[in-house]
Amino acid sequence: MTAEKINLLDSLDVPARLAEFRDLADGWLEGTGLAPDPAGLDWLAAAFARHFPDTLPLPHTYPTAEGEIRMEWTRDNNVCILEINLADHCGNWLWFDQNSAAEQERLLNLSDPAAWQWLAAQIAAKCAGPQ
Amino acid sequence: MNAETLLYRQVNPRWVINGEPNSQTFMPTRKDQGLLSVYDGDKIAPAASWQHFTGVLGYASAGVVAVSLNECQAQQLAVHPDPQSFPEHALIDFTGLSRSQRERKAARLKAAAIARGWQFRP
Repeated sequence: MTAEKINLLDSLDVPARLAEFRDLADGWLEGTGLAPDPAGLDWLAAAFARHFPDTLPLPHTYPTAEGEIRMEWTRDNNVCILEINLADHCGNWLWFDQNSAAEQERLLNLSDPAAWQWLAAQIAAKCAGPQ
Repeated sequence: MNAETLLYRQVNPRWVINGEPNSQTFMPTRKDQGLLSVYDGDKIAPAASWQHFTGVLGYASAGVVAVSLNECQAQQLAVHPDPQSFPEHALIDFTGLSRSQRERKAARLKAAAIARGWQFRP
């Protein structure tokens, strides 16, 4: 594995990424971004580690202006987005194909392991496999 | 502004991984009421826009990327000058779009901006 690929994987490590967001304060985004709740970050780090298979590609993980967490997976024409509310543990899922009108939205209860299984199946189908 | 005018967008440091901005950079947040703030490249240079954003407005920016007016219009996104905020200010109009429509258009703007490359990095 090349050093470049190792660096990429390090930067996608979800618990490490979430830990980076603990120092955000309200106003971090142009004066108005809400800081994610630290307890919510802990919950998501643990839930992701427990339920998301390590055989699947890791998401790009970002904070949102609303204090939520956004995970993005892309492969070829497929774009998968999961926006996670740290207070109620709901995930707002969106998949679309950039080259067609195909798309799918779904609300997930990420307190339920079945929702993580559904998520993993979607990522396996849409964003996994050799490039 | 003309079709080739570049619209400069500041990139929040938290929205960069491995040197690439994410698509949130090209999408208004809920508080933006559907309007994405950019700098009119006919009126200000990338480095000066960064200086204004960080120094005058006091916000964080990892650097400046750009999309052209033509690229916005190709996504059926209107661009409006907004000199009331400050003389170089403009807005890319995402109003009235569904979540998936916003995401699709932002993904295409991101791809165009990444292909063009960073216009300024401090």
